[in-house]
Amino acid sequence: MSYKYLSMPVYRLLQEFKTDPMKIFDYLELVYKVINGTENKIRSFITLISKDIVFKYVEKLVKEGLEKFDSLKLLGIPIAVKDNISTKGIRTTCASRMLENYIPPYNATVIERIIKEGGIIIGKTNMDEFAMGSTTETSAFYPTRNPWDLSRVPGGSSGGSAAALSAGEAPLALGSDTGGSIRNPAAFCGVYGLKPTYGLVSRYGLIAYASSMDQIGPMARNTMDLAILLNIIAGHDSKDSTSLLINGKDYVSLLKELTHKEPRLRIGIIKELFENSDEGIRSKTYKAVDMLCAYHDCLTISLPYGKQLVAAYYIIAMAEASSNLARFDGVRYGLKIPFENKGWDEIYSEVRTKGFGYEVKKRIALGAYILSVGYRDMYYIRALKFRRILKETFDKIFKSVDAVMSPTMPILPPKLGEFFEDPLRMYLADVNTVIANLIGVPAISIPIDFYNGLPVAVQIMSRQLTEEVLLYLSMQLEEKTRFRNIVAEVH
Amino acid sequence: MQESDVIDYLERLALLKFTESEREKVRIEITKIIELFNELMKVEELDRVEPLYHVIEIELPLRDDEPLDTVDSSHELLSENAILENGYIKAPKTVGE
Repeated sequence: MSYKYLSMPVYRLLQEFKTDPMKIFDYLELVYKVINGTENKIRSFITLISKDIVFKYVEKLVKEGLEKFDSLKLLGIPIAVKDNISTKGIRTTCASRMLENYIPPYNATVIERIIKEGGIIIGKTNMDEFAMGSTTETSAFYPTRNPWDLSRVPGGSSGGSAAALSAGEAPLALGSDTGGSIRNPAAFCGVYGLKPTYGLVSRYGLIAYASSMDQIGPMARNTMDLAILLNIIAGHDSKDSTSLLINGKDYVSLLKELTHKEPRLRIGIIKELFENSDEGIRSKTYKAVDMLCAYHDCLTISLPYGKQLVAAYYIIAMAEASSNLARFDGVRYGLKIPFENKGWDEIYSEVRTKGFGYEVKKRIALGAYILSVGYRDMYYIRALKFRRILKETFDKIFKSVDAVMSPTMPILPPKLGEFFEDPLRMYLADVNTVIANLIGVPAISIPIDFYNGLPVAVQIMSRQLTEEVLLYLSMQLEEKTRFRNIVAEVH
Repeated sequence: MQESDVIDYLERLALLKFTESEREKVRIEITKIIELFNELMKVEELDRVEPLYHVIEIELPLRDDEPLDTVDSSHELLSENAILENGYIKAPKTVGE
């Protein structure tokens, strides 16, 4: 199979596979060839399923499933899965020493749904430890590198998933997004990423970081492929108590319908988020604004908050993390340390000290501090009040516009190690993305161009449960920019 | 926060320890992070509203209390990840000498 298949979108691959299931093997052969050639440079994966195991699995799938092939919506498509999503029998580490040997006894709901549709899990991707970071450098194992420039980070925390996509190691991926962890690496690696409305996709089996903001979402190399994966994973799940009591829509049909009808929408351009971006980002993303505003009605809107967004986000995230990560006690989960004659507190502290890396320990400690007597009202409650004000602000904005637009990231992908000296700079770079998580609305990152050889992306947010609006606008941009199905040549 | 033993305090609060080199790094970073958190003090009218704990402000649904067949057995659930003794999970002692 020739390399042209590498840049073939999933919706085309599916047609090929249905006509001739043997092409699944050819395609997998090609994907593994790419992985073998690039993985030592990029390191997208923590656990890669061997080609032999995948081939045996597909042989069985083909043998048993021939009669239902037409109905399988992901037949034969290899999918890279972020390593905080539980996969039965496949090690799930959260990029942490704490879970280095953890093998989940069950599948996350999203994984169950993917497998049922004939999707193939080919590996678990690298990430920031417990999703705490924006560069994939806090992984306890190794950093992942940006396929467009190996001296730079792929973004994070779903950095492995984004890098795998842009390097051609997989045509679809799953990420998770608590404050931008899908959109940030999607932007830095030049791929598409969608954070769905809070509650649209089941979190059952997602190892929790900040439960009130975590969402699993699709990542792909074009808009239609995002819709294909979203179709599979969206919709109510009784195993997740925060899962909304709705069925997912048929996003593929909706996307086709909207693209055909081309309704004119009202789009808000968030002035400050453009102005506060680096020069290269600003000039490129304004071009994307022009492309959409040539057709739609655009108006400039002002957001009176900046650093406060980041402050509120990190307060809530750290508070929730300090509680969520308490479960890794070395008894039920986590590192196994001989108890000898030591007491609970001593073992617990030892397990956490050895199992967690620096960034995770820092966030747990700060989270515990924020929730402690005397500081709870000063920080935690204040952040939650700010969250309500922010939600009210956007409720009002979404009365006059259908979507709002900004750059996804205010900066280009930084060099490895650049943020280590100044982690506050890393936190502040999340300013555009945290909004959607704080208020639970959907947000998409759309790659539009390159600046100095590095990908630049815009972010669009819309009202809760209007993912189809984001996909529609993304498709319109994609048609104009032709930034689609691009695979980086890794040197 | 009291500067002198702030790291000791955090370690006690969170039941974990920082290494010697981490202690210096975390001391500097935490000061900066708290400064960032204090940005919220500048937001007016916070007292006007109630905290928003969760974006979905609806009553969470309860399902019937019936077992689901998610795993085949409790043994399967625990075998990979906990230290078992006679079918029980082994834990450190919780009472003193």
